[in-house]
Amino acid sequence: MRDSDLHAYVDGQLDSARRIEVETWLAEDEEAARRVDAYRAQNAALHSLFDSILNDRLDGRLAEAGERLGKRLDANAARRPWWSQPGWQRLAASVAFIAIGLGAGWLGRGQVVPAPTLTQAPVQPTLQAFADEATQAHTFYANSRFEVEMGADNQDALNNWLSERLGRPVFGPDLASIGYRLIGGRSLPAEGGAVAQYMYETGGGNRLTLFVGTPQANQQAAFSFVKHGEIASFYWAEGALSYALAGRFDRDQLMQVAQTVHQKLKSGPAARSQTPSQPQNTPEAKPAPAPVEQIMPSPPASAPDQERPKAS
Amino acid sequence: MSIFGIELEVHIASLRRYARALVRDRNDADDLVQEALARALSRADKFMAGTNLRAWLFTIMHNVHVNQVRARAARPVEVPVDGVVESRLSEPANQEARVELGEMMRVLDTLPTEQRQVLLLVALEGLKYEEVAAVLEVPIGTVMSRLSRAREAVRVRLAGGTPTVALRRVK
Repeated sequence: MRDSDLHAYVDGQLDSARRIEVETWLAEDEEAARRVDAYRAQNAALHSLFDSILNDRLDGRLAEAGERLGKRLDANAARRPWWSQPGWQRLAASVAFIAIGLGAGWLGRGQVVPAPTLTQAPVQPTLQAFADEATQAHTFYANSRFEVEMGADNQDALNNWLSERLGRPVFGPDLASIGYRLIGGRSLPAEGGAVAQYMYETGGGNRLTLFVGTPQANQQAAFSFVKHGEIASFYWAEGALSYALAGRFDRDQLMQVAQTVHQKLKSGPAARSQTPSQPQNTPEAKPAPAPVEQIMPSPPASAPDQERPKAS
Repeated sequence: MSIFGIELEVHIASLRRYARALVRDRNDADDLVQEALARALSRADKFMAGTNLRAWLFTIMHNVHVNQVRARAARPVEVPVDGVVESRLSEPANQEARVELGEMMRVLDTLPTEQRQVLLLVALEGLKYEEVAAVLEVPIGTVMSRLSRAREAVRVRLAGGTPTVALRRVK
């Protein structure tokens, strides 16, 4: 066992097989175990000392510098062909990249699962970028002190407020039946208008977010799954709205949640003693999804140039 | 919001935390981040979309910092440890915890800069060892040995610290 293994263990940079080996070793070696405790305490102390800075408001010039940089990076990305745009590149660059068209398992048995290349049709980058934003927003807010802008004490008020922000009726489905409690939501600016982020929590404190927005009007797409690091995301579009679920879950767990969310969205907001001021049947709940073959985007009519993205 | 908007927001928050931990003075730290963002803007064409934006930004900020340190070598600016710790703690912690944090801050100051950088990038910012190696432009073996020396030095000094001194440090 090397010294570097001990550090990699503390820093969570070991694969699970190696981690188990280190743990076995630590059970035997008291001195090494004390060092691990000490290093962890150091990490915790550093976070106690400096984490509050994360919540400091940016002063004007820093905010402006960040905005200018964001615009420039966007402009550079926009000059590239769609397949080398940020969403795609981040996806392709990720070692943990898994993209699975789940249409078959989802919408009917016996269908052929579309190959990942089929899902990489030109209409998809916007939805992919949307899912990326959902993942980033989850990472940013799920453990934040300011995880929600408005709590879920009054769900009608929360839904009405977010519907107003998005300019169309949305609601956070009731997921109590599968063990998730709605704790609130926030609205975020995004490409193509505001998005709503609903935050849920399990009894164990694990957070789940549902991201709802309109990255591209009236597109239909099969359910897709992607995992960035530990954050898994399921995303799909239906009618005018796109949805992305994100959280620290494995694929099967998240798929169960996605199925429930999908059903709840179709059946409309749960009836409460007070009549919600929004229609029970929201436009996004219809029409029923078409068979997989029809809703899978077709491959690009003209394939993009085969040149590689330029290295810097 | 731009495609990079949320991602950048998160990274800028990290850059500020690291800068503050590294240079201590709030204004100096924000100046460092500001200059790094300006440099990043001027080199934005060199950033390849899809590569590691966070590591790219940290690398740029590291280079800015190296230049600043070189330029200011003649006049090191030190901020009193007590003041920083006092202002940093937004909520009153119990006395023992405050002593520990004050000690941690003091010991951090005694580390050579290159060890402090590695410790902060790994333990505070959660960068992978390979990312730290890329940011600091050193071999990964160097990252590991600096990390090891930094953590052992902090451990030994915290264990051997004299509580009376610590109590006097944090009022």
